[in-house]
Parts: sequence; structure tokens; C-alpha cells
Amino acid sequence: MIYDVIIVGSGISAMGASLELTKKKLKVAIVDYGLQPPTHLHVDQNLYDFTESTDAFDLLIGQDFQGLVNLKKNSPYVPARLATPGFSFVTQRTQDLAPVHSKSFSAVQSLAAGGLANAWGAGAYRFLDHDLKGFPFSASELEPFYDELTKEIGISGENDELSRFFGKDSGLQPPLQMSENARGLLAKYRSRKSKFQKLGVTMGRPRFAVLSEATQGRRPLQYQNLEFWQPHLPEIYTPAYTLKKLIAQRLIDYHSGFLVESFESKNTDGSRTVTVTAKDQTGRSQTFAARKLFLAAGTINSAKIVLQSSADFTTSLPLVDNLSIQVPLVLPWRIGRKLERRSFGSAHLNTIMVDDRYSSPLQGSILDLGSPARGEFFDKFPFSARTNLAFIKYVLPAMAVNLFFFPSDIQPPAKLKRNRSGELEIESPPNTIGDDIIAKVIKMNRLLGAWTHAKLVVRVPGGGGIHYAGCLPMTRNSDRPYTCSHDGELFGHPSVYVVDGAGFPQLPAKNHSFTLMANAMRIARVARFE
Amino acid sequence: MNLAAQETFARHVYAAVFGQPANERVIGRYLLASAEIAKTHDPSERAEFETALQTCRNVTDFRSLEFAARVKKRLPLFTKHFRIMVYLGECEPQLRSQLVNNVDRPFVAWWTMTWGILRDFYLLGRGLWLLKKLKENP
Repeated sequence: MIYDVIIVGSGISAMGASLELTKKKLKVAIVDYGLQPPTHLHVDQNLYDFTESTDAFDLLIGQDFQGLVNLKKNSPYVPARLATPGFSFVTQRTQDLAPVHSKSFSAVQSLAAGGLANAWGAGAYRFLDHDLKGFPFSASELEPFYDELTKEIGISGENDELSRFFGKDSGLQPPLQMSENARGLLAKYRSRKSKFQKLGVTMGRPRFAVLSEATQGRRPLQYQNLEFWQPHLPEIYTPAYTLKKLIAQRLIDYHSGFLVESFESKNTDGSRTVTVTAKDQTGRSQTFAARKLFLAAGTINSAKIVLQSSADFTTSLPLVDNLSIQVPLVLPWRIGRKLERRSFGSAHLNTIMVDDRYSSPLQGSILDLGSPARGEFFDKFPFSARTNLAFIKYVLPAMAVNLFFFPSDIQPPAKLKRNRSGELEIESPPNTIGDDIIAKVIKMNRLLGAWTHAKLVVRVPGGGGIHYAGCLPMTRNSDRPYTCSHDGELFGHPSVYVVDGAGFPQLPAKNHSFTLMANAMRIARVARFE
Repeated sequence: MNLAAQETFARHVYAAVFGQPANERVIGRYLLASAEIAKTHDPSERAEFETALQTCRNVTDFRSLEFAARVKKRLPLFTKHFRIMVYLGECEPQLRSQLVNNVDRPFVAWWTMTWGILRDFYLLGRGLWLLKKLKENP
């Protein structure tokens, strides 16, 4: 069977493209590895009510001790949420099936149905013109898709002071309930606003693909603090939700269990056909054919498929990521106060910092620490075991972390290439975020009344931002290999489109997932199907 | 370490972390988990860690040695065993009250932490002495 379109992958970009392509009544197939979350873990009550009444070993650690994976020596670091039994499926098998060799870049990939966004922070931000420097299109081309997606997936938030950076959005649901910590910080910000303005800092509410009101049969957020432990909560949008819907409506053919290796584009009898070669779980090759191919396997994997299809072992492609720092904060007025049991385990506030040294604003997200396992913090306090436990009990609820992201152009891109054995190698410069900007971030957080210190700031190593882009960038005149046109079509490979982050030439500091989805819709709309 | 020695060590770690007699379910899981983690460490690290255990006579020694080793960035396996215990203890409903504060009590919080820090001076001194003894008689 020859499909109209084959989409490789089922993550956020794939779903953006699928939504648009299925509207055109085209025959669409998704070829995906498609790992699923564990079915035996299902908690639908508050995390703290559950753990105080039930042995929580399966939820927190897991029978194979998955939750302790980061204690193993010499094993690659897994971000805390992806190490939980509920979310480990997101990165499962990537080490065996899509290995990446790098000493300096931590490449997080996914073979799960729904991709990495199964575990995303759900931040949904529009790119404005100043975020699209280097892109061959302007924000106005994305606007209709952002509006459509806002209705489709449900975005909560507020048109507050940050609209200057996030854009005005008339379709927002009311913002989520703020935590006590965030309320205190926002009050401090409002009372000292002129000082923040001098620093170029604006603070406000994040925008989330999380429902605050019931929509399309999905319930609003229950504030159960389960975001760290339970995948596919219906109130938090993930691509898996759209995938399930499209399969149920029979609008797509979903071929799971396949790892796509390469493609070949051929012109026979005046019509173009793209053949995709994939391996199933037993290692047998299978081919799929279509008139067009949409690559949405995730930046790194899409780049690998393109290099493999070109049998190229020498070219190094650029790979960009958002460098970030983690700034721990202690809010002294909250020490010894009870833990907020009904809470949302993601960011509660955003801070935007405009600094002349950077091409676009820096963005911080302030998160409470109520959700992660307490074991994560045992050796983070500098005291004996019993005293550290007391700090975990009394200080942790008064703590937050300001996760500060930088635009990708603050340092040269990493280099990605395929070696002779077909595996990827990535070379990346170290995180060189300077002490001067860290001092400014510290000053900002102290103005909020928080205790913190530059020595406590963690510079996240390359790749740790898990926002990858830049390998096959869209350019105004795509006139050289490994670049794409304004419409996402890959140079030298007619009918092959790059619809994921690989096509983004650079990244501003804000989360790009919502824009990945909108851009994939844009490409799907402009692709011509004669 | 044979199984009996491992179990004794597990009970000491439990007491050092949670300050109470051990919960059998946690000990059982701990023995499986620690074997899994320990095997990823080099034999020399495991040997050094096991030698260090010889210097401990009671729960206070365990607490002191782990604390001093963490401060001095030595015996990483020791701290890992303590962390495993915290992770596993967190799964037990009866231990949740040691990790989660459900009532507003800033005074109790400040007092507990201040007393803990004062006591830590003694533990650190004792731990450093144990580390020194270990260095002198490896």
C-alpha cells in the first residue's frame, strides 16, 4: 500500500502534523517504536494520602529497583523524573537501540509512543518575532496554528505582564492554582517591582498545556502531586492523547514496534515515492511506501536517519540545546510550615530576564520540590544523616528551584556525526555560563527574599536541557545538503520533510514544544498533494 | 560480606538514618538493592568500604563515619548505602512522618535543626577520628 504520508515518530511534532494531515483526509501512517507506559501502576489519589496509607514501593522504586538507577556507578545520569518506575518507559531501550557516544553531551531520546513529551513540563509558549531570529518565517505564520492548538489541547494561564514575551492569547483557560511558596514570591516581586525592572526582570504565571477546566471529556487538574510519578494524567496534554484519539477515529494507521533506519526517494513514471526501511523487534527489515515522508523522530534521531539514508559517515551536523542553570532557593518564611499536599508538581512562576548580552530574553521557571523522591535530597544538605532528614522534613517544603534557560546561540553548537558502526557521536563544548550572569540571577532571587548562593548553582551539562534542534535547519534559500526549505523540505530529497526540532535553526530560552507542534502543522498545511 | 554481616550492617544503617529498630520489609528490599548497586562499584572501593565498617562499633559510629566520609568526599559507597535506605524508607507509610511535615510548627523545626547541627559537631569530630584511625590501620 502506498500512503499519502508516512510520519516517523509519534511525539509532539508528529502529532502536530497528524492533526493537520488528517483534516485533509489523506492516508496517513505513523511508523514508530511505540513503547507504552506500565499498566500495573495506577494511582488516582493524592500522592501523600497514598504513600501514608499504602506500601508505595511499586510507585516510587519499582520491582527492578528502577528508581535507584542513578545510584549505580558509571551508568549515565537519568533525570529524576525519567528514573521513576512510571516514566522509565520514556527513555527505555534507547541505550541499546539508538546509542549515542559522548563525553560531554547527555543526549536524552525516546522510543515511547508519544515521545519525550510523555514526561514534559507541559510549558506551552508561543514564539514571537524576537524568538524567531534565524528562522525563515515570522510569528504571524504560526499564529493560526497556535490558536487552533490552544483550543485542541487546552492551555491554562493568564494574559499578565509576561504577555509581552509570551504573546496575548484569548483562548486561555484560567491559570492553575499557585502554591504557597509561589504566592509568597509573587507578592515580594509585586512589592519591589521597580528594583526588578532595573534588573530587566519580569515575573508572572506560566502557560501550561494543563487543564484548569474540563474540556473534551478530559478533567481539570486534581492537584494530586502525581506529575512526577504517574504518566498520562488526563488533565496534562501529551501527544499520546492525540495518538490514541486518531487511532480510535481510524484516521491514521499506526505501525508500532518499528525502528526506522533510512529512506529512499524515487521518481518512477512521473510520480514520486518515498520508501522507508524499518527494523521490527526481531531485527527483520520491513519497508513502507508513501508519496511524502515527514521526519518527526526527534531531533537527534531524525538527523541520524538522514545521515544513514545518505550513507554519510563524515559530515558533522550542528546540534543546539538550551544551556541551563539550577538555582536552589530557600524561602525562610516557609521553614517549618506544613507541606502543601494539594499541589501541582511543575513550575508555578516564570521569570523573564532581558540582558543586552543575549540575543533574546532568558527564561526561568520556579518549581517547588514537593514531588521528587526524598532520597534525591539526602546528601544535598551538609549535615549528618538524622539532621539531613530533619532538613528534608522541615526545609524542603520551603524550597524551590529556579531553572534558568539560556538561548542556544550563547555558545557554538555541538557536533553530531555517525561513526562507521552506524552509531552517533556528539562532541559538545562545556557549559560556559559566566559567573557574572549567575551573580545577576542570584541577586534577582535574593530580591525575592529567597536564600541562595552562587556556590549552590548547578550548571547543567550540555544536553541536559532536553531541548534539541539545529541539525537540519530551515533556511530562506535551502541550497546545500542537510538544510531544509521554508516549508521544511529537505535539500536533495524531494518529498522528505523535517517537521521536528532538527529543522529549527536555533532556540530561544523558552520551551519550544508548543512551537514544534505549530510548525509541524504549518508544514503539513503548505505541503502540496497533487 | 556474608549475608549475616550484610543484614547486621543493614540494621545499623536503618537505625543510623531513621533512629529506630528496623522494619523487616525495608531490610529485605535493602539487601537486594544494595547488592545490585554495590556490584557496579570497583572491587577496591568495595574493599575499602568493608574495611571501614570494621572500625564501627555502634550506630553512632556509623552515623559519624558516613557524615565525615561525605564531608571529606571519601567512601562514596557508604553514603550510597544510606541513600538507598532513605529511598526505601520513603515507601513505608510508618516512616513518612520522618520525611513529611503535616502541621505548621516552625519553632519545633528550628529547634530540631539547631540541635541537630550542634550534635553534628560531635559526630563530625568522631567521624574524622574514625577516618584517621582507618588511614593509620588500613
